[in-house]
Amino acid sequence: MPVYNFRAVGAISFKIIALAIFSFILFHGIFMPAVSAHRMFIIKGGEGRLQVLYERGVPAGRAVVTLYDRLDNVIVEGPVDPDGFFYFDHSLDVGRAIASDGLGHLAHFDFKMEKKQPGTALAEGEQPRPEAPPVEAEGKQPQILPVTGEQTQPQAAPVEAEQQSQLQVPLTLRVLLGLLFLGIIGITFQRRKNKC
Amino acid sequence: MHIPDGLVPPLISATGFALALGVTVPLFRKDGLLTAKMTRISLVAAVVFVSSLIHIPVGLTTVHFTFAPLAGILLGPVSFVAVFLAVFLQWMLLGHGGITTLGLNTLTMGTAALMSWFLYCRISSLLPAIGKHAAFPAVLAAISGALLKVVLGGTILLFSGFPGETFFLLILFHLPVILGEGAVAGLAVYYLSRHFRARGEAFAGV
Repeated sequence: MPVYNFRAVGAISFKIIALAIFSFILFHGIFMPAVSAHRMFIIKGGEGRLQVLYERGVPAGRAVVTLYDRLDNVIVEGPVDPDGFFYFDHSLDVGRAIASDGLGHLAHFDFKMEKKQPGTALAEGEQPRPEAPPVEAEGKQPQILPVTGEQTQPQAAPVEAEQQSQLQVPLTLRVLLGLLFLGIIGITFQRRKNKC
Repeated sequence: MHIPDGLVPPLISATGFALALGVTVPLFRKDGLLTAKMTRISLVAAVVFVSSLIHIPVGLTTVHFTFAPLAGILLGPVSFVAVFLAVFLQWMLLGHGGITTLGLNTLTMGTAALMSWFLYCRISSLLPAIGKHAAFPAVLAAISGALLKVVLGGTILLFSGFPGETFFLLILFHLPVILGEGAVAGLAVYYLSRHFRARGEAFAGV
């Protein structure tokens, strides 16, 4: 078995990792559009049209959208086009939409909430803003989530409140907050260690 | 990969929490861990935390790095704590994963880290006769760890009612990330081993 050398490796790894983190922050700031998280969400692209996107506007071309009426019955289900658009008859009484890309990403759109807050939807032809808030954050009610069209057991309600607050803050700031949190932990324990 | 809220049944979520806590709590309670290694754990956790922002478009979806195998090689068993911190912050700040799947996500990534550490040690000890070099075992260990992570994630989705196709698609789409994890771990360990060789010491993980 290899011999471990905590003290020696610690000295170099601290410098290397700190350098890597600061480099990442620098490059993240410069090349912001190229680096992004990839959470999936749904936006309304006008009457009878939804678009499924990953964060920062990358279309989720694999997603399958399921529309439910207000009684939670499946009324329409189908795949999006390569640009992430899903078209449906706008005269349908749609209660909510769920999109799943089959790889563990899930997005939720609540039409009931959207009608109460019309300012959140995009107009026909309008391009989504890069920081457009995911509409999945707008739903407030516990949901029954389908898995590729099949009804599953009622699941725990997602943490929309937290997600909504996250999305108001730019990604860079959120990353910096996380690094600051970990930095405080590291410095605190480093000082304690030195005292010992 | 992170499993979001609402995909897995409560029983599987609870099992994930129980298993993740079962590994994390003893590590926290171990004497001297917090004072001796927490600084390093937080640094590696920061790397794991930001790594999820580096994503690769594959087909019509995107996949992202985790660097959990690298964390395992650098930290050993305590990498599980680093992974827990990173996954928690990824959920809180980046919206990756979810509260109900925090345990499962910690478990999949933490297991990958532990597996990478275990394989790195085993392969390192088996190769002295053919010119042992730290980078080669690191690449193999990181690739195996990353593959295990995807397999575990896929298995969880299978048990949650996803079709079998999902399992194979997950592995297929994550192949670039799996290879990338191996390359990054290999380069990092190669650099560290060179550094320590220059100082007359042997690098064999932290």
